[in-house]
Amino acid sequence: MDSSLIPLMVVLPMASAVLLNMLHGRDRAVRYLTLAVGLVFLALPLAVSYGYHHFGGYVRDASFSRLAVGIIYGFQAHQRLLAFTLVLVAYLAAVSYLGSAGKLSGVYLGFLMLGLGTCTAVLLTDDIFNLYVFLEITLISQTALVIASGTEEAYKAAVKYLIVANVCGNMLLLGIALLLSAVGSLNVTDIQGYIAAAGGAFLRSPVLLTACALMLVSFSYVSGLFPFHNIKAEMYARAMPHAAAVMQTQTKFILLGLGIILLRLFPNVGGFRPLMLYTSMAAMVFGVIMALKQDNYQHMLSYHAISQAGYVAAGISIGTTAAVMGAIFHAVNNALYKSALLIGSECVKHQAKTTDFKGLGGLIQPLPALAALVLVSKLAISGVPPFNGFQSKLLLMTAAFNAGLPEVTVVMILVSVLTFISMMKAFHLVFMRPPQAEAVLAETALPRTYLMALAILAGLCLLLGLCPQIVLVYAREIALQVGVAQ
Amino acid sequence: MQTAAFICGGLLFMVGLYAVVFKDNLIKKVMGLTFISDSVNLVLIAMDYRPGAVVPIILPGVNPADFASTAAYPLTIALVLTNIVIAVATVSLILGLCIKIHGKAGTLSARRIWPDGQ
Repeated sequence: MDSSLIPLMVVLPMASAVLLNMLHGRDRAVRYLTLAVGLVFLALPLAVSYGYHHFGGYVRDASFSRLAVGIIYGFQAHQRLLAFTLVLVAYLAAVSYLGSAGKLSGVYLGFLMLGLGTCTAVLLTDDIFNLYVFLEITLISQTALVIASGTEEAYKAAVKYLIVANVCGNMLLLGIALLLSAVGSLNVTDIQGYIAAAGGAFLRSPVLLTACALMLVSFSYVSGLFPFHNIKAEMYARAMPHAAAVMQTQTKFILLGLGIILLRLFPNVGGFRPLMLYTSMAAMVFGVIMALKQDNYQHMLSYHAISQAGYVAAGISIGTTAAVMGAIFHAVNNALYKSALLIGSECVKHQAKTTDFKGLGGLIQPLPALAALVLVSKLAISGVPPFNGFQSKLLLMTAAFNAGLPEVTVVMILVSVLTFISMMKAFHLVFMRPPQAEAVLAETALPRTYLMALAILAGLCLLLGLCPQIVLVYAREIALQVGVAQ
Repeated sequence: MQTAAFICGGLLFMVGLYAVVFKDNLIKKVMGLTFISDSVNLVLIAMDYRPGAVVPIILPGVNPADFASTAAYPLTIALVLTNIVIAVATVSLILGLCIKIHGKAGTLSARRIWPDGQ
C-alpha cells in the first residue's frame, strides 16, 4: 500500500453511504454491506502508508517554494490512530444497531458512514477551506443521526443545533477569508510558514486577530465547549445512545484536528491560548456540575462528554509537547470509555424501557456482565488506575503543572473527583439499589452484539491503561511538531 | 466600491445576527441565517475585486500574460459557490425540521418550543 490510497479513507465511506441509501428497504443487503465495508474501513488506516496526497497542483519540496495551489491530504501516525479509533467506534455502534433494530434503515446507516468519511477528511486535510466544507457536512450528518430517533425533542434540539452551527460556520468561513486575504493561501502549512516568518507586527494586525477570534468561536462550537456546551449535550441526549457514542467521538477528534491546526497557525498570537484554556476549563467544570444535576442516565453521560472534551481542549491550549500528547491520548481514551458507557445506557434502555433514574434499579441481578463492563468504563472515565483514563489524565495534569499552570492541575483533579462521584451515584441508581416499584424489565434477552461491543471497548480501556505506550508512540511525532515552549 | 461592499457585508451580518438572536419565529431566524451567509459571500467576492477585471476563463487566442494581469481572482468565486451549496443544504434541512416541529408542536415560536430559554 502507498500514500496515494489516502483519499480512500474518505471516498469509500462516502460511497458506501450513497450505496446504503440506495439499498434502504433491503434489510439483508444493508446488513451484509455494513458489516463488510466496516471491516474494510478498519483495515484501511492500518494498511495505508504515511505521506501526502496532492489533489492536482505540485509536490511540495525544498526546491519549489511557491504556495500550494491544490488540496493536500497528510497522513501521519496520530492520524492513523485517530482514523482507526473513529472507524472502530462507528463499526461497534453499527453492529449494535444491526443486532438490536427490528427493521433496519439504510438511510440511517448511510449517515453514519457519511459522518465517518467527512470526519476522517477533517483529520487528514491540510486545506483550511476543505476542512470547513467537511466540517459542515459532518454537522449535517450528526443532525441526521439525532433526527433518526424520531422524537419531538430530537427535532427541537436538531433545529437549535443547526441554527447556531450555521452562524458559527459562517464565522469560521469569514475567518478563513481574512486569512486568505492576508496570506494568499488556504494551505495550512503555507499559512503557518507565512505567519511564523512575518512575526512581530503581523501577529498584532487586526486582520489576523479577527481571523483568530472568529475561528476560536467556531472551534468552541464544534467542540461543544463553553458557552455552547448545552446545545451539544442536548444533541447527545436526544440521539440514540450508540449514535451519541459516534457523535461524541467525532466531536473529540474534530476538536483535536481543528485544535492542532489553530495551534499551528496561532501559537504566538497574544491571548489565543489563554482564552482557549479558560473556555476548556469552563467546559470541564460546567459539564461535570450539570452532569451531577441530571435525573436521566443518558443526559448525565451527555454532560460528561462535554466535561471530557474540556480535558482534551485544555491539553491543546497548554500546547507543550507533553500536553498535546496527553490531549491525543485522552481523546482516544474518551472515545473508548464514553462509547462503552453510552452503549451501556442503550442496554439499560433496552431492558428497562427508560433511562430516567426514577424508573431504574436492581439491574445487577439480571445483567451481571453488563454491570461489570459498565463499571470498568465508569472507573476508566473517573481516572481510577489501572484503566486508560488514569494514564491520560495523569499525563495532562503533569503537563499542566510542568507548564507552570498548577491551578489547571487542581481544576482537573477536582473535576475528576466529581466525575467519580457522579459515576458511582449513577451505578448505584441503575444497578445496585433495589428495583423501583414502577420498573418493568423487558422479557427479551439483551442482544449479544451489545455485550460484544462493550467487552471490546472495556478490554481496550484496560489494555491502554496497562500499556499506554501503544497509543503514545502514535502521538509523539505530531506533539513534537506542534508543541510550543513555555 | 470595495469598502462599500465590506460595509454592506458587515451590516447584513448584523441584521442577520439580530434576526437569529431576537426574532421569535423560526422562519424569521432562518431568514437571518441567509442574511449572514450572504454577507460572508459578499465579503468573499469583494475581497478580490479588481476594477475592470475580466472573467477568469481563458478563451482561445487570449495572451496568458495579458490574462494574468487583467483576470479576476477565481479562488474566492469557487469558495462562494461551495458556500452557497452548503447554505442551501443547511437551510433546507432546518426548514424541513420546522415543518416537522410545526406538525408536532403546532407552533414555530422559539419561546414556546424552547421554554427554558436555553
